[in-house]
Amino acid sequence: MKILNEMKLTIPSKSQNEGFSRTAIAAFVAQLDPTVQEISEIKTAVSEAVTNCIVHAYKNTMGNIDIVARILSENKIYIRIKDKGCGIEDIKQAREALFTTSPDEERAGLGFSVMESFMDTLRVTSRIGKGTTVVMIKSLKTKSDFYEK
Amino acid sequence: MNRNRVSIVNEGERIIVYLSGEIDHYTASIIRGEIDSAIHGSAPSLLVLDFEKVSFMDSAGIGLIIGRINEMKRVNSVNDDNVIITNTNGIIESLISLAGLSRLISKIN
Ligand SMILES: Nc1ncnc2c1ncn2[C@@H]1O[C@H](COP(=O)(O)OP(=O)(O)OP(=O)(O)O)[C@@H](O)[C@H]1O
Ligand SMILES: [Mg+2]
Repeated sequence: MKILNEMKLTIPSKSQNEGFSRTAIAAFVAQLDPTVQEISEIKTAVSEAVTNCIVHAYKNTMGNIDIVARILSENKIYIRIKDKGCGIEDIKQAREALFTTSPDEERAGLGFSVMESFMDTLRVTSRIGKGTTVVMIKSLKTKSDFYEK
Repeated sequence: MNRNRVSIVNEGERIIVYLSGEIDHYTASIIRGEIDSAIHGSAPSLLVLDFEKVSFMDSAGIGLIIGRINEMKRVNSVNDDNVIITNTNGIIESLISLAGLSRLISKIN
């Protein structure tokens, strides 16, 4: 798949950056003329992944979150969110709906379910003590000719 | 931050919370404090959460709802749900349905 455009964003794991990062990705994706619904779905999925870096990966510490967003051919959006935090022990279990390691903090355990249902593809790789990478891909229904001119 | 204002109408028996702005992990903890102090102040038998003016929400909003359901049960010493969710739009409704909470969505008068 051809990469038509790309952006990179590195932010410290501050809670205040949740809003900034999803808005930045939404602004980048806007050039493909997505529907309001598609933009909302992408923003929500990004918010889930970034929040997980802040509250789980770098729990009680501070670290960088690396975000890459790409526009691929055929109106596909690729988003990669990476941390160098604590890692996930059992990815299969973590992805199950309602599973959370911090119920005491009013976590619903729905972050991965939301990413899965709002994006077309969700890939999670992780190593204990090394960090976690989340890759999400979504095909936009509205066909834009922005890169065909 | 004041762009996440919550306005609370306390009718004694019923508290209506008009949520607004963006609900994520950062803002949810602020909103939670405001709702809980109203609940603890007057121990209402019904809590209404109005989502009409909410422009963004992620799973932290679901955590906020579930937490308030539990808080209402605690305050009233009951096991039944006494929370109503109203004025939800498409995407917030999908989140609520993912969480299995669609039964709480209702119109109020
Ligand atoms: N980047 C990460 N680093 C380390 N652990 C993670 C990461 N992302 C998720 N996890 C683990 O996976 C679990 C499930 O994540 P998920 O986002 O589905 O739910 P949650 O964050 O616990 O709750 P919610 O997202 O509903 O607030 C988390 O409880 C956490 O243990
Ligand atoms: Mg999460």
